[in-house]
Amino acid sequence: MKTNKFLALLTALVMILSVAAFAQADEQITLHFWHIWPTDQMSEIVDEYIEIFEAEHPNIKIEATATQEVEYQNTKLRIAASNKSQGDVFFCWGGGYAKDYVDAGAVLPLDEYFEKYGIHDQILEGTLVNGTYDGKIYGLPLKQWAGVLFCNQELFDLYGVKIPETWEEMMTAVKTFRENNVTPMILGAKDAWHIGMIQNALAVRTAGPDYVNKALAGEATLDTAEIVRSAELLVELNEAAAFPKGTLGLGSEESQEEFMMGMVPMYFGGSWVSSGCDSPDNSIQGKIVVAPLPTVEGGLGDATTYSGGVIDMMMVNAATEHPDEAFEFALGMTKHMSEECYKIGDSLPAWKLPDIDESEVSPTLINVKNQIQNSTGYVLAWDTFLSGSAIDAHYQLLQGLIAGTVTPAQFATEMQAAVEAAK
Amino acid sequence: MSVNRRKKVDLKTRTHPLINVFLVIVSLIQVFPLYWMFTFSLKDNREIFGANTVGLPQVWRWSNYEQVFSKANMGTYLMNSVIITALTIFFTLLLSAMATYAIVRMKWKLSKVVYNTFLIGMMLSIHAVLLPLYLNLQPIMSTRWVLILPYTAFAMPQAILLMVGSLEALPKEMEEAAFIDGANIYRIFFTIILPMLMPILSTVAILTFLSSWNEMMLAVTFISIDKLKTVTVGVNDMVGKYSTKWGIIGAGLTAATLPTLLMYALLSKNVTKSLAMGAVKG
Amino acid sequence: MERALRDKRAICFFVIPALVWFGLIALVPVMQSAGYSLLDWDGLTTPTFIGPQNYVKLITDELFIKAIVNSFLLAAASVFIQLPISMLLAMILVNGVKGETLYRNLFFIPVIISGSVIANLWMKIYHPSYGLLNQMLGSLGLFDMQKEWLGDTATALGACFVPMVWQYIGYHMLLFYSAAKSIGEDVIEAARVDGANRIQMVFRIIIPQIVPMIKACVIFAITGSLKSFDMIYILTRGGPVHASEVPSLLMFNKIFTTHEYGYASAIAILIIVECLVLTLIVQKAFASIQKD
Repeated sequence: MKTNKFLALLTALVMILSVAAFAQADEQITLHFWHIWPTDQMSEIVDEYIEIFEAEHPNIKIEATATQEVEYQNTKLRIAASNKSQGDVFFCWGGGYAKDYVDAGAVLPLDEYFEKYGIHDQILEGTLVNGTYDGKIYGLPLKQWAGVLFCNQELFDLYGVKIPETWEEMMTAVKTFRENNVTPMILGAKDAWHIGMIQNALAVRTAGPDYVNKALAGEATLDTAEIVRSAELLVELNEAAAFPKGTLGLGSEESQEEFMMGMVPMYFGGSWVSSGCDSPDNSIQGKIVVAPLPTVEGGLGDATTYSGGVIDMMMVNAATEHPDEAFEFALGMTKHMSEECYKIGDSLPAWKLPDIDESEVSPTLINVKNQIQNSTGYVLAWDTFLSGSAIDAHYQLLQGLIAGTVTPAQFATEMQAAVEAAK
Repeated sequence: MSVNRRKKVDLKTRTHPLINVFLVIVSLIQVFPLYWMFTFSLKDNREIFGANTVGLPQVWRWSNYEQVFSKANMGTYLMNSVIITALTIFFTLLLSAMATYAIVRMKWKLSKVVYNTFLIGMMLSIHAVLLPLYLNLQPIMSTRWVLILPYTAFAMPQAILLMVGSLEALPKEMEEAAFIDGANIYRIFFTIILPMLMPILSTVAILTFLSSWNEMMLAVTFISIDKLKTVTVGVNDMVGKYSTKWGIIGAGLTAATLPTLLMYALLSKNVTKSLAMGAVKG
Repeated sequence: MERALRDKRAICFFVIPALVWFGLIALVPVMQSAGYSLLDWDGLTTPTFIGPQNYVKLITDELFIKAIVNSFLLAAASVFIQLPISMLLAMILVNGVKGETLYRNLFFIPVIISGSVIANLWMKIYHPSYGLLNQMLGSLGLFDMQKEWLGDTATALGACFVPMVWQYIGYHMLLFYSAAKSIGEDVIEAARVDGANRIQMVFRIIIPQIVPMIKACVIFAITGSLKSFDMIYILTRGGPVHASEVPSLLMFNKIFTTHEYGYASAIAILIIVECLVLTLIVQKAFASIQKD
C-alpha cells in the first residue's frame, strides 16, 4: 500500500515536473463544468473523473459547479443559456428540454467530433435519438432508463397475490392488498411527473410506442380512444385506492420511502429505483422482482414495449473558447459516468461497456437490463419530450385525473390542444 | 434611578391566572413543532413510521447529525451566510440612517418624493427583479456582492420606514444644542443621531438579518460555486437529497436553525436593552 | 442651523448612496421587468413587441384571478387573525407578566427560522400517515378530523396559511411590543395616577400611541401576503390542481416551466401595482383615523 502511494506520488511529481518543463508555452486554461450532483455518490463519481482528467491534462483546470436538479433545470441553466454563459461543458436533458437551447444557438453541434473519435461504434443503438436536432448531434448520451414494475415478492407471498401480467391481475392484486390494509402502490402525485410515469407507460400499452412517439412529435394526434383509455386505467387504479392516502400532497421521494421500507408491494418506477432496492439502508434487499407493466387487453403495445430511453446528456457550450478540450472532457466524463452509474444501480448504460465486471452492479438493475433485452420500442416520458406550456398542461391534467376534476376524455383532448398550442 | 422606579411599578401589577394559562398555551403552539423537529432529528424512519411519532427517541441517533456535517459543507455555508448577512446589515443600517436623517431633518424640495420612492420599494418583490438582475449583474456573478447588493437594496425601504417613524418621534433639542456649539452636520449625524437611533437600529438589524439570512431564490440562482453557497441553499440541497430520511432531514433542519437561534440570543439581549433604554429615556 | 439643514452637498452626501444603490438594484430592474411585460419573449430567442396584450390576457385568465383571490384571503387572514393575536400578546407582555422576556423570545423564535426550514417542517407535520397533526388527532380519537391536508383541494390553501400565520405572529408581536415600550414613562405614569386600569390603559393610552406602528404592521402583513412564495412553493407548489395558487408562484411557473417571460413580467408588475394600491388605501384609512 505505502509503496504504491509513494510510487503514485513520485510518478505524479515527475509528470508535473516534465510537463512543466515542456509545456511552459502551453497556456493554462480553465474549463467550467456544470452538473446536478452536489452531494453523495454521484458527486464522488464526478470528482473522481475530474481528478483523472486534470492529471492527464496538467494545463487544464476543471472548475465544477453543482446545482440541485430542480433549480438547475428550471432556473439556472435556462437563464445562463439566454446569453450562453453556462459551463463550457454542461449536463442537459435532451428531447424538448434542450430544443430551445439548440434553437437559440447555445449548444455546439458535435458531429465532427463524433466522426473524429469514432463514437458511433462505442455507443448503444438508439441512444442518439433525443440529442439529435435537425439531423445534427448535440448531446453525448449519459445513461438510459426504462420504466418497470418493481414488486416486493415477500408481500406478494404474504397475501397470496400473483405478480400481475395482465390488467385484470393488476386490479385483483390492488383489491387484495387494500382488503388487507396494505397500500398497493407508490405514487407521490404532488410531483406530477410521478403520475406521468404511470399514465405514459399505460399509453405505451394502449396505443403502442410508434404511435405515441409520432403523436408527441406532432405527426399524429393525442385525442384518440387509446390515449383516453390510458387515462381511464390510471383513474381506475386511483378509484380502487391503489395509491397512498393523500398522494396529491406527497412528493415522489417522500412517497417512495414506504416501498423502500417494505411496506408497499408495488412501485412503477424508472430503472433508477434499483439502487434503492439494493441499498443496505433500506429493508427490501433481495426481495424485489422486476416485471414489465401488465398488458392491457386490446392494447397495441405488448409486454416488450417500455417507457424510457436516453434523456440525460452532456453538451458543450457553443460559446466555449476551447471546444476541443471541452469535448474531450465531456466525452471522458460521459463514459466514466455511464459506467459508474451502472455499477451503483443508478441507470442503464448508454455505452458499450466491454470491460465491465457485472458482479459490482446492482442485482436489481441487472434484472431490469435483462428484462428489457427483448425490447421492441421505447417512449420517453412525455414531460421530457414536450416543451414549455405543453409540460405544464400535462402536469395539471394528470393531477386533475387524480383529483377527479378532469375526465379521461378531457385529458386526451386538452393534451392534444396543448401540444398544438406549444408549437 | 428611573430604571428602579419602573421595576417597582411592574412588580405591583399582578397577573390573572387565566392570562398565564393562555401565555403557556401560545408558547406551546409556537415551540412544539420545533421540539418535534428536534426529536425526529434523532430518530430513524422505522421509529417515526412505527408508533413513536411524537415521543422522545428510543435511541438518540446523533449519527444523523454526523451524516449532515460529514456529507455537507455546513461550516462553509454557515460562514458564507454570516459574511453576507453581516455586510448586508452594515450597509442597510448606515445608508438607511443617512437617508432617514436627510428625509426627516433636512429641508429640501424633493424630500417627500425621495421618501415615497423608497416606500414604493416596500411593494417590490424580489422575484420581480430576478431575471433583470441576473442579466445586469453578470460581471459579478458568483461573488458575495451579487447577493449583498440586492439584499441591501430590498432591506432599505423597510429600514427607512421604521427609522423615519422613530426619528420623527425624537426631540430636536440635542441637535440644536450641538449646532449652537458649532458642530457640523456630519458630526451631528454620526455622534448624536446614530446613537439616538440605536434602539430602532437593533430592530432593523434583526429584521434585515432575517430577510437576508433566509433568502433562497437569488442565492440559488446567482451563486454557482459551492464554496460560496449560503446555508439556506445548503439545506435545500440536503432536503432534496435525503427527502426520504426523516431523521437526517430533521438533523439538517435543526443544524441550520441552531445558529440563527444562537445569533438571536446574542442580538436579542441588545434589542431588549436598547428597547428598555429607549423606553426609559423617552 | 437652518442653513446647514439646507446644505445641498450634505443632502447629497446623506441621500445619494442609498438612492443610487436602491435605484440601480431595485427600481431599474423593475422598470426592465415592466419593459419585458410588453414583449412576447421566451428568454432565448429575439423578443417581439406586443404592447399590452399580456395584461389583457392576464385579467381574463381564470387561473390568475384565482391566484389573486387566494392572496387576498391570505392578506385577510394576516390582518384579521394574525395581527389581533400579535397585539393581544404584545399588550399582555407590555403590562408586565412574570417571564415577560422568556415569553417574548418563545413567541419570536419561529420568525427567525428560515422559511425553507419551516416549510419542510410543516410538510412533515401535515404528512397524512406519520405527521404530527394526524397523529395527534388520532390519539385524541378524532379520526374524522384527520385529513390529507396538503393533498386535498379543499384543505390545501388553509393548510398553507396556518404555518405562515403561525410563523409571523411573533414578528408583529415584537414590533407592537417595542413600539409600546418606547411610549414615554411619564405618559403611562400620568394615566396611572388618573386611575386608569390596565385594559383602559391599553385602549386609551398605548394603542393610540402606537398607531404608526400598527399602520406599518398592516402594510407589512398585506404586502407580505401578496408577495408570499417560499412556503407555498415548498408545501404544495400551488397544487393540487391550482387549489393553493398565488400570483408570485404563478409568475414563477410562467418563467421556469412555460418560459413565457413577457407574461410572467406582466404578473410581476401587476403584483407591484396591487401592493401599491392597497398600501395607499391603508395609508388613507389610517390618515383619517389619526386625524380623529
